[in-house]
Amino acid sequence: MRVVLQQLTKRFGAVTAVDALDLEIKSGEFVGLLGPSGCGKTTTLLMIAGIYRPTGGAIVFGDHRVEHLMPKDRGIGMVFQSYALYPHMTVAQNIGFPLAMRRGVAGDEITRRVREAAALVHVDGLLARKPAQLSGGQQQRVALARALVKRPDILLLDEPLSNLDARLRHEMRGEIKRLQKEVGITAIFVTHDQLEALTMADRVALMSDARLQAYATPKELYERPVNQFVAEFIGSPPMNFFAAELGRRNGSVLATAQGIEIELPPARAPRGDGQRQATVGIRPEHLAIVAPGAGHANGEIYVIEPMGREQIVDVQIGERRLRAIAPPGFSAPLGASVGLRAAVDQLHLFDPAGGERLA
Amino acid sequence: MTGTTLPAPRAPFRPQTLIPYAVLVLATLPILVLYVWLTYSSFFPRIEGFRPVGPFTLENWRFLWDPGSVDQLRNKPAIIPLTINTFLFAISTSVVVVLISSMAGYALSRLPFPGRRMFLGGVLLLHSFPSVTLLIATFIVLRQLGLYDRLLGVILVKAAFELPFGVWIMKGFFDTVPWELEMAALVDGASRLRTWWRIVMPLVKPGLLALGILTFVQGWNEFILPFVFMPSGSQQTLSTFVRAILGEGRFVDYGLLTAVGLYYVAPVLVLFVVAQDQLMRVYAGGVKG
Amino acid sequence: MNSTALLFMGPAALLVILFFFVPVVITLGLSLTDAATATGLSNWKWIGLDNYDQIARGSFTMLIIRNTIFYVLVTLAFNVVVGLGIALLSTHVEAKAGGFFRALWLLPRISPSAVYAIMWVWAAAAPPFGIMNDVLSPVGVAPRDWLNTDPWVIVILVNGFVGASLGMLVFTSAINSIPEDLFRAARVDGASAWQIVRRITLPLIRWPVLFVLVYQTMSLMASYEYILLTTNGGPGLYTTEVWSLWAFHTALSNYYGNLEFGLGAAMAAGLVVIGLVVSFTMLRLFRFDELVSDPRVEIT
Repeated sequence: MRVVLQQLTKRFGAVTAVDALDLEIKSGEFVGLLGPSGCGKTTTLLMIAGIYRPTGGAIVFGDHRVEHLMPKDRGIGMVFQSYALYPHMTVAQNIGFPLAMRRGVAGDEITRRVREAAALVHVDGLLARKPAQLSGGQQQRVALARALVKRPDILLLDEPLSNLDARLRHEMRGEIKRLQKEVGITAIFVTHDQLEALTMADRVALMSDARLQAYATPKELYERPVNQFVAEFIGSPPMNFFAAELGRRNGSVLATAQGIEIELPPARAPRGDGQRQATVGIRPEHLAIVAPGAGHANGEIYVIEPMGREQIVDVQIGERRLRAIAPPGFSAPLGASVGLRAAVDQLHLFDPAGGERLA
Repeated sequence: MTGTTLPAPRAPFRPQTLIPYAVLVLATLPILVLYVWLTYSSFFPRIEGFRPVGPFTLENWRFLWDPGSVDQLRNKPAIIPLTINTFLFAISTSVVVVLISSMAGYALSRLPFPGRRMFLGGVLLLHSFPSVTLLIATFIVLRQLGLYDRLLGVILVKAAFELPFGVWIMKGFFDTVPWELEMAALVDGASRLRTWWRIVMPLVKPGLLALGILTFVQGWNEFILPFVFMPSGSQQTLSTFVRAILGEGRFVDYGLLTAVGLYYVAPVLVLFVVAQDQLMRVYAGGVKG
Repeated sequence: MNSTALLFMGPAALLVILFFFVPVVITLGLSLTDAATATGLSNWKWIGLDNYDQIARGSFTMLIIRNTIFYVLVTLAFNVVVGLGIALLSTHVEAKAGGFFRALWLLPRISPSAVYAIMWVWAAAAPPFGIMNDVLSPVGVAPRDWLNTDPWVIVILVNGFVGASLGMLVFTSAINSIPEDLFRAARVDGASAWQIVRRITLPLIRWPVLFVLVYQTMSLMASYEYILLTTNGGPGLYTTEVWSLWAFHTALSNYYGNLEFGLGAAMAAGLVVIGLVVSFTMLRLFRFDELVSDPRVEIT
């Protein structure tokens, strides 16, 4: 079922938690709400769930507005950050609770559907246990079964992986993604972790300060961030930025800053002549370390952080530091002179005033 | 040379570490002596200071099986109906307080409604307000309601007086229940009422139990309210009964009095030993807010 | 207000209205009447401030005020000093032992007041019965009938041993909530046990101490249960009568048989007003705003 948010707004007293949010989620789509803590993403989810009442705007499920409906009447299943399993009930009772709350669901049908849902997430062997006797990953699976047992139209997940350790997180990431496609349910999840959002979601809505910053596929977010905030938030280690002067030479555009000079390919140059200043962004993975004088900039090695698969190298250029990725074999003493070469077709230019993308 | 081969230093025994214990023992002694002595003197015909006069006896306890033979108890209500009365009073107070407190405590902890802050303030205000100053007016209220000299009236007054404490304690317990559990129940299709009863109440069971025991004890012990509001004999409780024997002047039979007293306090002592941890927590939470 | 909240708050609100709000109003109203057993509850009339006038000019008023001040101050000092002492000592020793001593100090509070009173009356009895004489005569205190010769000693002790547990509990939890690292740091810095108490513990629990002082002052002013059960204001005329007991005697229980509700209410009115003012001040002073965060589910 499709979900549409129109001008959705939530205020708590003087604080605006969600500001005029417009978002359309297609039927069967898996959408991640991503943003730093306090950006309004969980508030948005709780409004979709019906726990919070919107201050303004509309929430549409399919073709119907639902703002006035109670959570139980919205056809949603939800997995909470803490999983919110009822500690005094067994796994079977937990999963069966949404069915037991409905009138006219017979006892044996509850048993059958609880088994079905439990089998879907591989917890059918744990039905008699209490939540306290389960591992984090098992609790997560039970919470998923409980959310799905009543066959909701929409699945909501609030930070579904944040309570798991790194290994389990990876496992459940794949598991949830597979499950969502298998069931074919429209799903919305909230996360503060860009990696989770990028790996799991079909589309990511990036929020900050109560507003929607970008809504796009993970690939678009990474390759063509619409503004400086998006560029900064997506990608790890984060993108390098520096202020540059724009000039023209021989018909092409030149970005210069202290110690740096890059000739922009036509596709990356801002349209028109007006722009004289820009914030240039380049991801560490698009900066290569070369011999001094052989790249776009020269500097000294400031620090090297080996990461196993690669190394993060900070290079001091005048008063600024740029971060580059070097292959594992790279080695140089601190303070060594090096050059940096940018992959020029991967440069991003932003307006220094508003942060909007220039090209 | 490694450290483990060196001789281990011996901590010298310092007698001053025992001083706090000594002071505590001395300070606590009067309380301990009072209770030990209450027990002790109920088993002797007569006691002078610490010295029993006469042999060990169960004579003082015959109010339990042969009340007719005790002079002091003539024209007084029998002990068993009194005990039942006291128990009824205590258990009813306890049930009323636990039920009403857990409803109001839940509302104040969890429900958005106009005037919530005012109610919370009101509960805190009443929590510290000395309700015993209202006794005279309460007397008038009970008379007007036709509840004067009836067990139900005293139960309601006692419950009302314990209520600010109970609401505050229960609100504290409800505050510790994770919000997400409640949100989950709402999403799962439960109404607010069902969420309270099926999800939240089971999770605050320790609190319900502690408050229940505490208000039971308070009800069991209560003296002033039954004394003032249930003057007729048939409705008395153990406290007014003890006071009646005690108030008869200085020639009372202390053997009997201590036996009745011990009989009266024993259930409380047993409860205290059994549920001490819960009670201490609620007591501390109650006065701390 | 929506129906769910009304349902949950209703019973509590009803009891509070019936037994707190209405009585406050009645107390104030009644104090302006001559209602008494003599007039009955139907034939009373408004007499303005006559009751207050009568109290002000009563020949025992000054005595009772003096008694009340003496009783409150001395018992308060006993309660707070002993409560603080027990809290400090019992948190200083082994946790288990400390808990045991605190449990013993709670005994008077959890025992029926009538039984607790028996124990003291019996302990204070004239020779050869009371154990107080047995304990005190070796240290040179002449044996006596304490309730008759020194009733105040008994009144203070009875209330003191009950009341100390309140301070003990509050101070104990305040001390336990001080981060352990502070004590460790102080010990590493070379502070002695007494210096730790003086320079770390006491300054950090000054708010709980203030709270107990205020709370206890108010409840001592209003309380009379243990006096009623031991000396009942005697021996003789008003020797240990305090204000709240006086109001109680006047309106609800006296030997003359004429219960003067109006006059008693006028006596109680002062206490009610003090109680309300002090409670309200405490509400402002101690921890209100932090306790009233908004609910996180907006539907009912």
